[in-house]
Amino acid sequence: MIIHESLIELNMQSKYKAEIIETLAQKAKSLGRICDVARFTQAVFAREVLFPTAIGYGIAIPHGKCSDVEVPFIAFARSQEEFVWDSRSEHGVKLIFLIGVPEEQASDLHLKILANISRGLMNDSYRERLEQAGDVCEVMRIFEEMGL
Amino acid sequence: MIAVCACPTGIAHTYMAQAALEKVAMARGHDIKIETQGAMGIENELSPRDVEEAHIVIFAVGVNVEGEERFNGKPSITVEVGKAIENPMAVIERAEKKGEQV
Repeated sequence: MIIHESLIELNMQSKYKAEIIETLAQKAKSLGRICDVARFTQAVFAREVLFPTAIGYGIAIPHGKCSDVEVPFIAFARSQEEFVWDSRSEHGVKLIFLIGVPEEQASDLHLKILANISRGLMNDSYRERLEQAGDVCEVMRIFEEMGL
Repeated sequence: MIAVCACPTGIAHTYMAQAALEKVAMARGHDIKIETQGAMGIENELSPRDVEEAHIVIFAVGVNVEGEERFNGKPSITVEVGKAIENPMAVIERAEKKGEQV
């Protein structure tokens, strides 16, 4: 699956995007979704430099398309308080979705799930439920509903 | 209305913009069809008939539109894909105004 219990952090303490991306990338590495944390985060940061991925609605979607990704994934972190994701963007952020996709050969099924989840995040009720979810199982269920 | 959504990686923004515009347009009583040009290629492709019947085309894009010539001569507005996500209402309102002028 795109999302996995071990890719979820519901109590992210850090309010620094570099640290958060690094933490989530480590989780992806532990699960074998990427081969090299440094190379992957570099791709994500390069994308962030172009344009910050805080898109409004309390969400940031840092993402990297790079050959270091073995299997597409979404890692999710939730912060208790809204914080400034990037000084160039006015949007506060509470929910962070780190997305990784391989440079080539991402299967259509995986891309479809990512597209569905992206659409789902525009739905107020899914976002509210993600903000309030008490545990990882609940978060998994919400992602499953969105991804179908 | 018809729209084309596209972004450089074609993984998330494209589909978020699609959902955001669709929601607001429908809430305001518009008939809308949105083509996405993302990592899965072109989906929900706009047919010549869709184009002909539309009053206005919205381009919510961060990259070049594939098959842009299909829309030659149609009234259109172009917005940054990120703007369509964060403020879809403003985009639809702009499209309404432009559509009325024509």
